[in-house]
Amino acid sequence: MSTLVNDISRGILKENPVFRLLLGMCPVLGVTVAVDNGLGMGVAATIVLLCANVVISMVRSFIPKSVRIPCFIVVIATFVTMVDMVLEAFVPPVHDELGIFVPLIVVNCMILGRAEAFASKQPVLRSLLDGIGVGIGFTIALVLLSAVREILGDGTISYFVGELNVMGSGFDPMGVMTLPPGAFIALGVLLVLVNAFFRKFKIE
Amino acid sequence: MTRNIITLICVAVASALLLTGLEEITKPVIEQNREEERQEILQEFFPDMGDVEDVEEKEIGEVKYEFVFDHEGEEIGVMIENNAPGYGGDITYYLGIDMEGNVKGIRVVAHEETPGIGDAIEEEGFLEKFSGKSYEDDISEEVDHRTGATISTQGLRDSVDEAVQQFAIDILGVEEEAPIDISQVPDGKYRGEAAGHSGEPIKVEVIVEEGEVLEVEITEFGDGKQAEELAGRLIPRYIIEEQEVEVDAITRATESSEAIIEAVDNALR
Repeated sequence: MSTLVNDISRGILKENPVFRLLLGMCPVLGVTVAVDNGLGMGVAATIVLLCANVVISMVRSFIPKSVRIPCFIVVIATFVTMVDMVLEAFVPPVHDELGIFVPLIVVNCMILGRAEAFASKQPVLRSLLDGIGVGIGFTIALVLLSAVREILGDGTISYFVGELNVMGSGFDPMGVMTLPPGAFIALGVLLVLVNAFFRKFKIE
Repeated sequence: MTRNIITLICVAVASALLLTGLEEITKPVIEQNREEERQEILQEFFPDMGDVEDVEEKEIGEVKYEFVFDHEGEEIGVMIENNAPGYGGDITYYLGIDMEGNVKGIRVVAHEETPGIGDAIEEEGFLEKFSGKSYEDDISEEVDHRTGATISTQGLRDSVDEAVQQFAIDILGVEEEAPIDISQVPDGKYRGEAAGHSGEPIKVEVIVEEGEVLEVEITEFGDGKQAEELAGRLIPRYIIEEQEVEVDAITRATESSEAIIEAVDNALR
């Protein structure tokens, strides 16, 4: 039982893909200008990660070692394209916002990393839990980063159908936070805080 | 080796089947979404239009016009889907024009401009400056670009201007201004003016003799010393050398150059 719980929590805390492993930085820096974008990206990546982990774990014994990477990439690309099509058809506003970043999930090394390091060696259930854990960890990181950037950069928190003005009307937004440099600054500061927090509570 | 090939083929075929199946499901929904968005925009541009289904598509030259009719079946305007060059890529927008050549509305549907900067092109406050402008207005002059988003807003603005002018030529039958044929201009001394880069008028005097420009003198110039050195000195020389009004502008004094050319053009018309 404890291995299963550990499979989930590892992705969220000890091996959080953004805060601990610094994997998949492209969408992390790119889409985190608004909270709903961050959440949408996190959920999309989690779905792809889950499906890819499960499928790869299921077929792991049939796939010869020498062609495993191309097979993984095809599996991942298939799910990404599916997510992209479903988003465009059923939630067009989210699709418009995420735009180019959805197809880019294909080359997100976090997903290929989990396939290679975990799903290709472990049974289906554990791979599923690992996918859930890493996906949640990734989503939390994206939402946290985008909240910091949106609140400082726009003074708002957006939630798909509207936005909440949290800083009041007298607030002068720090425009730089919504730009790429702001993404690096916010990520750097968050990394320091999160790692200090981990060290303090001895989560290693 | 054979096993590798077979595995790869199997994975690829399975992936292709899955995607084809899903596309069958999502494609009609996606197309319907696009169609709904288009109809919504049509109704926003032309609130008193008749049935949205009664839109007639007509291609004139390279432009596809969608004619909109009111309840009595009268043509009330057109909608054009157009692309403008932006900072990050193409800006796709719908433009509504009524039959008098006035802009009814602009709606940006897709763009790749910088979030928080170039997406000023989507803002109501910028787009509403276009409404009511007609082909007779100089849209490029009258709508200001947005500081910090110059390339994006200028790209959209100039593209709208061009589309409205093209509409006037294609649909309203307005004649395109032909370039001036200097050899047909009678002898004499002509005066013209145009607004320069700073907004101050630039005035010129042009002397024509036997179908040739003899002299272009700038009598008033408010764009500063540097522009005068470049544009004020070179543009008249080019016009006389080439015996043509539409000469190339001078780099670093582009707007002043164009104003001098416009002033000469105005003088000779």
